[in-house]
Amino acid sequence: MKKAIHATLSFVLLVPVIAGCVSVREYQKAYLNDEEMQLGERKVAVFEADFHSYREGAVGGTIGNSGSGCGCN
Amino acid sequence: MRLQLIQLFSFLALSAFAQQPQPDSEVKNDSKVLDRTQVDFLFSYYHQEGNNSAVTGGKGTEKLTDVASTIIVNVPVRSTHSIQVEYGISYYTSASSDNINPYSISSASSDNLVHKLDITSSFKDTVNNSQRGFKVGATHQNNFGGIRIGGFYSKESEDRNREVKIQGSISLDKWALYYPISKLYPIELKGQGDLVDTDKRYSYNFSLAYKQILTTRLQMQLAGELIYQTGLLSTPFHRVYFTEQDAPKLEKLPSHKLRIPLTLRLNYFLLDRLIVRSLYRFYVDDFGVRAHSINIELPFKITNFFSLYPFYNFHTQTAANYFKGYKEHNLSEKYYTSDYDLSNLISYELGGGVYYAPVYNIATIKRRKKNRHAIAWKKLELRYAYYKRSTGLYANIVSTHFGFIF
Repeated sequence: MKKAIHATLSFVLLVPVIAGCVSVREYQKAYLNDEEMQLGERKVAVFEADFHSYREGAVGGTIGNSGSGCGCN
Repeated sequence: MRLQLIQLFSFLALSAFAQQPQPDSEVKNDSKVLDRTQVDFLFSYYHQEGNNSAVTGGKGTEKLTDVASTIIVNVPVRSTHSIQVEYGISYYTSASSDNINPYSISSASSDNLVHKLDITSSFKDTVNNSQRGFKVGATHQNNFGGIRIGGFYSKESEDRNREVKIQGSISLDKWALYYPISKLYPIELKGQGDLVDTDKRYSYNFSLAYKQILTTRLQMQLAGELIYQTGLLSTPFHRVYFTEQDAPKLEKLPSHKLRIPLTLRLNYFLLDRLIVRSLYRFYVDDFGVRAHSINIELPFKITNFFSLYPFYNFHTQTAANYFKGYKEHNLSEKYYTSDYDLSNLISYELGGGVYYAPVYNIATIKRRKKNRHAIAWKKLELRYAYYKRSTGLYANIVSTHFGFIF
């Protein structure tokens, strides 16, 4: 669990560093607004995410409602 | 320590907003705000084969077929308020669960339906660039069910280059909703009294995500989650066999579990027609599972509205401290499982998809009433994946997504 805490701390320390990046204006966001560029799971991949959470011990971290359900099928 | 961790994470993430806002006089792009009801239909077919079923103690068929469909209806009540209703139903047949018919001691085939319903109400504050909402949901299947409630809050920076999202939820689940949990025990263990301390499982979930635009072609998201579970975390029909005896015992696991996944997403518009979508996840829990997962997806835009994408997932994990295979456990152990989902394993998934969403719709259906919008078929997505695990389990999954606007 100590390693997890170290990893978490390293991870969150990245945030203020990254936050100093350049500002991109609205008219410069043509690429970023593309549907394929959206951050997050594709809706069509939701079933695969379910089965990954059953067939592997690891779940979550993708901003959903993880941790519930029996996964017993 | 957990509280300190949450406070530190929150402070550092929110500190990004303490910077001076960038002057930005451009009109904000509100094109993502829905002004019509959006309806998504999702379907999937999944089939797996393997030979390490936990129901039969880590030895025996894991053959399983699951057909699932979900409908998501997003209704904009006002320009700043929307309600989303998501209902999913899946039907699975599982060879390994043939022995867990609670009303029978015979090995009748067991067919199962799973229902899931989630209702989310979201409010947008366009002045503060923030959004908040709450969610209620329920899951029901023949041997498990529960309810969940949750809420979220997100805030974008003035220039819309950064966003923080905080989300929390509580799930209250129960095994065997309509009969005593002892009905779910393996046949040979029925009639031995109470083998578990509780039939309830509670999950508490807190997540924090930070999104940042890095360049005109690159954006990222850091996310962390704390999941704390308590109650019956083992499965009341999983057998475990021991070296000292032939008779099995019921799987036994600790009644508390803390899980921490951390993810980093990076999406990069590499060339004019090629995008790189990537995800790395580190996961650790206090059962001893430590995992790394990588996902890479390469959408290639044939036209602006039509893209093809191959993708690849790689996952590796260490075994839970309580895992051993068939007849490898000792009777002196306090906790034990032969569930290969908690074993030391490597898995990969390879697949591809097609995404089509033309500006002027795939098809439209005009309505009789003149003042009503036509029903527009906006999106079509097809996806196939092959999954292989180092334990020998393999699976195929086909999924589709049809998006409409009413």
